[in-house]
Amino acid sequence: MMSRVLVATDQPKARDRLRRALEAEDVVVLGASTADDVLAILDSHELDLILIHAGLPGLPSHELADICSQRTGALVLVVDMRIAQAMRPTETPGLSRERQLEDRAAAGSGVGALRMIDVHDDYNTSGRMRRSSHCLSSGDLTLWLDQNTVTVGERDTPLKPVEARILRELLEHAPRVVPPELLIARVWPDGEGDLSALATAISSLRAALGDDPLNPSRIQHVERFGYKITPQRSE
Amino acid sequence: MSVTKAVLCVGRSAGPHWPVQQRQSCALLPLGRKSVLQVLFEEIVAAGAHQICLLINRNDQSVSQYVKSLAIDDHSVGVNGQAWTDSATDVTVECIEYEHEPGLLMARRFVGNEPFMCATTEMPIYHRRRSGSLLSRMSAAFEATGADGVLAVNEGARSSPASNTLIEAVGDPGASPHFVVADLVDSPLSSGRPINEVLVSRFVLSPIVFDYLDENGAPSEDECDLIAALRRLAHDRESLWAVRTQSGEVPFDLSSFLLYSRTFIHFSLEDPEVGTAIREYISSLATN
Repeated sequence: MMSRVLVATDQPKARDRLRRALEAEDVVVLGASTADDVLAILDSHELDLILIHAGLPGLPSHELADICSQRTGALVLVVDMRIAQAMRPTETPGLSRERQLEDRAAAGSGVGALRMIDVHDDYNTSGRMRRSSHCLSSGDLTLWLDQNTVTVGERDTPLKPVEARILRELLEHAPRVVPPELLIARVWPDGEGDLSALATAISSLRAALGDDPLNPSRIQHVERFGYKITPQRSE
Repeated sequence: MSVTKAVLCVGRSAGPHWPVQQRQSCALLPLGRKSVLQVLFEEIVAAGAHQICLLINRNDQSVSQYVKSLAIDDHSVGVNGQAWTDSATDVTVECIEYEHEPGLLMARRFVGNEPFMCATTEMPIYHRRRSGSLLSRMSAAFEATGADGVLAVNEGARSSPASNTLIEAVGDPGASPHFVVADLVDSPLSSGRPINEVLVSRFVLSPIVFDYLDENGAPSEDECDLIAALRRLAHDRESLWAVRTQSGEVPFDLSSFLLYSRTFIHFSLEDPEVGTAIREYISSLATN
């Protein structure tokens, strides 16, 4: 059986580099960017090694490490995952920003590539086999990127492409707030989106996630600023 | 988490064109009845900061001498080594000396794992209202969004603050009082991008900015490194926000004697006791 490693850090470049390095050794890598995400993953996966970035948001690292040690048989390490200069590609004068981002992504720097929780696994949170290999996760919610399907607890729900794209943006930026203009720019890059279309799509996404439309707890509206996704744990 | 720490970068010493000795900091120049530094102190204390770190020039003892006798909101400040506390306002001040230019990395130990405000003495801001200042709104935005940082921007056409950095928004924020930063761009623009927002030297930052400053290797004393670090932060994480100045908030530029003179006159005109008299005097000069 392949080894399973949880990389818990809010440093996206570090997570991406570690993921690439570990996957090259045929290690199954799960990712988390907050202490809440770590605790949710503990409930649903057996792990061999847990790497916790010192300074991970949510809980003091040593407290989180103690909890992980008590609840799993995994080796738990608290490490500083900040990236040093040697791992950062330099900018190239004369190239457009977009081109430089593409180059960096191609070089595996993490810039412009996956920025959030990146779970590479053959199983979803309920233990059933998945054909998909890439997903974004927060609490008991998992978005399967190449299937436009979301799993909440043990329930799978297909999403419309627009809903899946919004959910992806929220997950990639979690736990931070995403402003409407960023969502509109990303979801409707052809310029056809507006606040009304976004509100409609958010409403249908909440319905798909089983969120209470009158008192939403998963996709919250932060007045004057935008939307954010809040991790929930299955009852 | 509320923002209670602040780092003030006290600018370089004056040049020969200033009305002070060459080795004296511009931070001590008067703006009406107050110094630049005192105006800045009052601004950050009003925004909620009560632990303040001053980055001061090692060769300029005038600033540290001045701070030791400074009154914050009319309360005197007692001296206790390099850090001293005003018992009335509960404001603690700590000084870190630099050799040539103030570098934010020097304040890393002071900041620890908490968010902090950051400002420079080279860009005072006049606030017509005492409450609801720019920094207060920036702190509120920081807390509400969970952002990596919040910076201030001013519509470029309205003034010429001492910044040559333009701020590009993600998407079209319209007239929204805040937006997410897509890029920090050097001015003048080489391309035809329609960017009209100019960086104002006020920041609320999470400690993650030190990781990006640290990517340059050895600690730098160049303020431009902060812009470069924020640019990378904005590209990487898309969680750097900008808050726009409002009517009644006027950023000023102290980069030349002419611009300083304008600033002094503006602050003097708003003086509650003599402002009207000064206004009448200037009007009389204009009509004669």
